[in-house]
Amino acid sequence: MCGRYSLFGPATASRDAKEWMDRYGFDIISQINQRDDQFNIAPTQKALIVGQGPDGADARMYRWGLIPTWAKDTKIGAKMINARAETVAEKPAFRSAFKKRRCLVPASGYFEWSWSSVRSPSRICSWPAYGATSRRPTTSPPSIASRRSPATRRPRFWPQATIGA
Amino acid sequence: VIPIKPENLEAWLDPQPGRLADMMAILEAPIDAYFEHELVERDAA
Repeated sequence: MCGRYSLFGPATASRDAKEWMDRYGFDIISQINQRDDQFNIAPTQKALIVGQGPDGADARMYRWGLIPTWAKDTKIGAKMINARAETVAEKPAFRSAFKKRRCLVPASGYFEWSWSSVRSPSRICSWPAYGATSRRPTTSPPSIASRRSPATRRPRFWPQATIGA
Repeated sequence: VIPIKPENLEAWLDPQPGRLADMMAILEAPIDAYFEHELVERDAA
C-alpha cells in the first residue's frame, strides 16, 4: 500500500512525462510552482492532481486523503489515503466517488513497504521499496475524488485517495 | 499504486457509472512497474 510517492520537476522529468504534460497543456512551474523534484509526498499534503474540468483536463493542487460526503469530521481524510482495487467499487466510502469522480495523480515513482528476512536473518525487517515504470518516469496512479463543501468557511476542495493493488 | 496506461487516461477521467466493468479492466491492465531494489539485486547477480 502506497504511503509516499515522488514527482520529478521539469528539469528531470522524462521525455514521456514532458510529452504527457504537453498533451494536456500542463506547465507545472506556472500552475503549481514546482521547480524541484519532490521525493516524499505524504498523506494530508497538497499535491498535483489532474481532474476533468468543464474545458477538459484540469491540473490543481489537492490534499491527499479522501473525505466521504457523509463524514462529519474532516480528520477522517488522514486515514482514507488508499483504496484497494478489489473493493473500491463496493466500499461505502469509495464507491460513489469511484463511479462518478476520478482524477489522476502524476507520479515519478512510489514507495511500498517491503518485508524480508534476508537483510536481517535474525528477524523480519521492513524497508520502503521504491517502485517506478522507467528510470525517469511519470506514471499516473488512478485516484478518486470526493466532492465536498464543508459547512465551515474553508474553501472547497476535492480530497483524493489513490487506488492500489 | 496502479500505474495506468497512457491510452486509458481519458477513459479514466470520464467515468461511465453504468460501465464499471470497463473501469475495472483499466485497473487490471497497468503499466509494468519495477522496484529499484529488485533491479539492484538483478544487476548484482
